[in-house]
Amino acid sequence: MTLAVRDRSRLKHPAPLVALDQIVELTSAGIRTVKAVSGNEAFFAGHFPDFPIFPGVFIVEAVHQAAQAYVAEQWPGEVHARLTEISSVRFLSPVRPGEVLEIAARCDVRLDDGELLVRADCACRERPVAVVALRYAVRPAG
Amino acid sequence: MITLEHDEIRKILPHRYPMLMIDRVVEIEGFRRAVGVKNVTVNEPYFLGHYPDQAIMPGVMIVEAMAQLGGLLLLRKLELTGRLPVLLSIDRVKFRRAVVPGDQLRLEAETLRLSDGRGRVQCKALVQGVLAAEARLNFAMSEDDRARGARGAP
Repeated sequence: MTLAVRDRSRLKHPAPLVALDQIVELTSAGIRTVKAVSGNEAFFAGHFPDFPIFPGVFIVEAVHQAAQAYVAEQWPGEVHARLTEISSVRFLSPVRPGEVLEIAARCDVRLDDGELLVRADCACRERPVAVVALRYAVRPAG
Repeated sequence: MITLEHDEIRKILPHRYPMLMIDRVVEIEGFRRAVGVKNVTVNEPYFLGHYPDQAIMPGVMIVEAMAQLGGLLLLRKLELTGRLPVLLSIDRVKFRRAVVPGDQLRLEAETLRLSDGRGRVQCKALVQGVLAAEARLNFAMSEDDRARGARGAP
């Protein structure tokens, strides 16, 4: 299943900080998304002028947006998830313009504890680029 | 006390608009501790989308600011070695309160460990004395040519 994200109103992050182009797969266990990294993005002007590298914190942002999309698709309008901790991030390899960042996030929902734990493997093709663990507080929306 | 203005920071860090997240450095103690300032203004591009109806500084941009100050601090130890700090990992980031336009972020970086190949820095971001975020950052002292072109990367 590939969902082009056409209805951006359901996503919380309009440009210029969008780090989610497509949802590739969505199950109760997690979500897979892609972000196509282009040299034609504003932040590359400054990161870095002579040497474009996709900022590492934007890989974290991509996982965060995947987690938000997971929550929005699993419980449309019903659950609010707030990022409480970036538990750990390991950067393994730099991401360059022209590469496609693939996020494979496992989402462990513990509604009784009001927690969502997300662990994501981030890769470009077969090359691992980062491993990210995030923690959310979840509660009913409204 | 050593302080650095914006033009001096730009000589040390390779980051440029819209990714340079340190405005001033107000204290540096050797390579042990540094305090930086980032003024948060609604005129920054990330506020266009984060969010259209409510401006909140993205948490990852606070982490980016902390990483830049940490990298700047370690660069003081490395400036004669030709090596460069590359962000290797981020741990235990806690977001305590929202940061909004008009806030002045006070960024504090303290070196916890500095060995031959690695540096570990504990960072805090405060607004008017109240903790907004904290993080532990690990850097590798890279001699990699790729890092040579991009200090403080990724």
